[in-house]
Amino acid sequence: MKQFFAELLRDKTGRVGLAGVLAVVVVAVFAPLIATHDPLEMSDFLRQAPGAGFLLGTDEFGRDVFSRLVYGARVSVYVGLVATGIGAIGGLALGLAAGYYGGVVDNVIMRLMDVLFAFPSILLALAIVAVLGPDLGNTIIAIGIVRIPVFTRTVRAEVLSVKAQEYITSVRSIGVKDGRVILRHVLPNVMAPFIVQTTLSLSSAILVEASLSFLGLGIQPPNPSWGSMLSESRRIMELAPWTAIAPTVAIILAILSFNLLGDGVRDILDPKLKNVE
Amino acid sequence: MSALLEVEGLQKHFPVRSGVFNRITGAIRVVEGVSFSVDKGKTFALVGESGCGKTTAGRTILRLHEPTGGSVRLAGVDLAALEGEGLRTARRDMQMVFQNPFGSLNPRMKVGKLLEEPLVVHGIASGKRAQEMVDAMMEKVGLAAEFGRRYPHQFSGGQRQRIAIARALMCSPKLVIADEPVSALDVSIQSQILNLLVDLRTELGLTYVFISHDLNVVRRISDAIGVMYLGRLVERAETGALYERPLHPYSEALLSAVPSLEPSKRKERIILSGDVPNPASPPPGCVFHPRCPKAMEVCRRSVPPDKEPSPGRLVACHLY
Amino acid sequence: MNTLLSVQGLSIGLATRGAKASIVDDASFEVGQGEVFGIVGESGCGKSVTAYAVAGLLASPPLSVESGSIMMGGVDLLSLPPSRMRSVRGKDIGMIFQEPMTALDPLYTIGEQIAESLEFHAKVGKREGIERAVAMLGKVGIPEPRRIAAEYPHRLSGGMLQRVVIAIAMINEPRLLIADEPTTALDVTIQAQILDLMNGLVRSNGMSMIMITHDLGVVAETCDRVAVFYGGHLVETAPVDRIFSDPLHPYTEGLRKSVASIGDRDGKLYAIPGSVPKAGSFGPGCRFQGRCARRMERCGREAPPVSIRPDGRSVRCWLYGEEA
Repeated sequence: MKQFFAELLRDKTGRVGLAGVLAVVVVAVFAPLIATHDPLEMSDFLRQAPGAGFLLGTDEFGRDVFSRLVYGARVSVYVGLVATGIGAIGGLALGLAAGYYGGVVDNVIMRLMDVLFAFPSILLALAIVAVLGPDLGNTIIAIGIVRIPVFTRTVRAEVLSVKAQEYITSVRSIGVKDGRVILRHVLPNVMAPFIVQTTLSLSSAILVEASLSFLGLGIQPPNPSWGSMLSESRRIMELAPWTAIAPTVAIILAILSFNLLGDGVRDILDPKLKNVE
Repeated sequence: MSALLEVEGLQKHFPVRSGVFNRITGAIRVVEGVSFSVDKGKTFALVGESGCGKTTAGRTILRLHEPTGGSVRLAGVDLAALEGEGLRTARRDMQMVFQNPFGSLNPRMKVGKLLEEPLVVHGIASGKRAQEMVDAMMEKVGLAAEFGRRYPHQFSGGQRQRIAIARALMCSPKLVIADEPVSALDVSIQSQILNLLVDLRTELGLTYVFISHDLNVVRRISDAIGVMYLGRLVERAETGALYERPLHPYSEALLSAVPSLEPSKRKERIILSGDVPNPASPPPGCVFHPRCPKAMEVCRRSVPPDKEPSPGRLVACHLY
Repeated sequence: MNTLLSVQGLSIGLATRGAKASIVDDASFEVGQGEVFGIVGESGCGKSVTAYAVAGLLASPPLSVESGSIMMGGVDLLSLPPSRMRSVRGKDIGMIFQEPMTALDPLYTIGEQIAESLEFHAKVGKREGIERAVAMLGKVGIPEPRRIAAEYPHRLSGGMLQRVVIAIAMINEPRLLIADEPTTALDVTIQAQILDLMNGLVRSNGMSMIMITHDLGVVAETCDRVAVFYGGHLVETAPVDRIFSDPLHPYTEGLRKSVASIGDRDGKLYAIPGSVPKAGSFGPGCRFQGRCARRMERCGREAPPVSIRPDGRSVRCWLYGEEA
């Protein structure tokens, strides 16, 4: 683990990505300390341009854009982590089962994944939220479910290649039970691509949340999220462009950081990209 | 002396699937009626070229593949009849050593843990007692005890094969199936590992089934040999007898193809023409007839029955 | 016999993070006109990189020739610019690889791949190229050459593909053929076919061949003279029958004994103790000293020089050091 972080810091991509991700996380965790105003408080200064009083200006209700952005980071990080967690754990379980047992189990799981995959992810999330009702919890579940097929496929492919390794046959010939084979021998050897997938998936989850909130199906007003801020800025974009620019830049930087981190992690964990010893 | 392992008419067919619904449309007969028995403390070798079914035969004996037909008896117990927990317990008595020591050890487990696992799984020992047994076995195969704290990739091929052998022997098996255990090793290391296998056989009273394509290696370690071609056992004989006078034309050609180590005696070799046919569509009659220099009319039509020209010897050829 | 290829003092290094490791150290040998010259040794001994250096095919970086010369037909191949070396390769030097499956491009037909080399070097048209490719396929013993020339590599078996690789190597009638473990990936009965074919083609065309192998049996079957490599050192060169009947270097002797103890089944097999050194990590002194049964005190201190024996054989061992 120590060595992993040492290598990550040596890698330029990983270093920049890690710094960006840490910044977002710090902002999210310490939001009350960082924010200069109450994000929900409507002041008398409507559509105020950025300046001394309001760092990034105010929106059409006179709320401080900077503070809303800071609290919005909370939503993004929270949604990103929990939704990715749902997708990752679901996908890991399904992928292990499909890859290890094969046959009917594999067929049923993978055909189901094909169906899930066939829908555009936003559309699928929309449908799930429409059924469950629009609130943050349901949004997270929807985003998580949408991520499952990607994880299932990654894990299953990796399990298939690990399963073909002789050490798995060797373990079976010793008389080890299936459960132990999966947990002790298959799982540790599929972790690397799984972790890479998880890191990369965080950014997609954040993006999907922003899109859903933009469409009014994510977090409900007046609570801020980057997507809903962007959505609300539409009406006043000509008058107060900063209300649109701030969340856009935040989304871009956050996504970029998570992706850079993902690339850095992949560089370290993927032995195929590593120099031969 | 009674046989420890008796294999009778062993068959393994793999289904051929095709179409959208993966329907079974045929079968590849990878192992087709293989019979032999091995006495306790002896080594039986299965030899043949790639695709002849020797590896599949070995794995089917150990029930790593489900046999399609035939029976396998280990110390009188019919392995094919075992299920679930009974089969798992029986695995203590039969172990396997694989060809590639780089692939047969989990790269993420330390050597000590790898050796301990069979003990834990079968509830033989744990903790300090297990550690002692691991150390003793490491010494037995010629590895220092402190190597237990290292990972497999820190070892050379020869050392890894020693680790793999140690692991196979942890729960004192009766039968060891070694699948090309020295093929991936350098020439100067092969003899070391063969010697180790021979020593351990004597010391621990093991019985081996030794699977190999290398006739030089087989000659040096086995008591009896079965020659396989396209899933069939074409000849079975004592090692000395086979090398002295192979009966089946394929055995003869196989032995003749091995390069001699004496440059002055570059022999006139029997060079088989053509390739091994696809096992999914074997030729009719004797499967060897398209390449056989002694093929007769009858070989094209009928499968040769197993003949016993002398006691214990088997040959499947119309010449006899 | 006239000398075709003369390699003198060849050293090859491997660049790793910041450091340079020696892979082949000061190797010298000659290959005569029409001679089949064997290079034998175990993994990491430097046999393949030596031959790849001769063909100008070293993966550079990280590998590079540090010093020495490779003379062929009065030209030092190491001094040639890459463009000239390309025309030497294929025309004067043909290569046969270990894995025929990966040595051919899956997207072109067999005929096209043979003709390509011909078009590049002999400047013949596509049509004539294919015609000559078909003729060549016949010579390497491929049945129905015209049909096979139109096939793609994946349709052929390993043995057939190796015949195709041989056809490509021989189409320009090179003076030197370099075969890198040409039968290692093949079954014994197919190996017998391929060795037989190569022997016939090389001898009848008066070509020279470097046969790289780990298998002493292949050496015995094909070679006239042999160089034995160990740990990046060329430890011995000798005519093939002498390597087997009267090996000088303890490693050669051990290698022969460890494969030849067939028949004496009662006793233990002969085995060289210890493990094969990893390429690039050689200590001081003789590189075989740790495993050598005849080790002397001196072997640990200094690397032995190459001594040339009265009969022309060379050996790198202190047992013979004083006679140099």
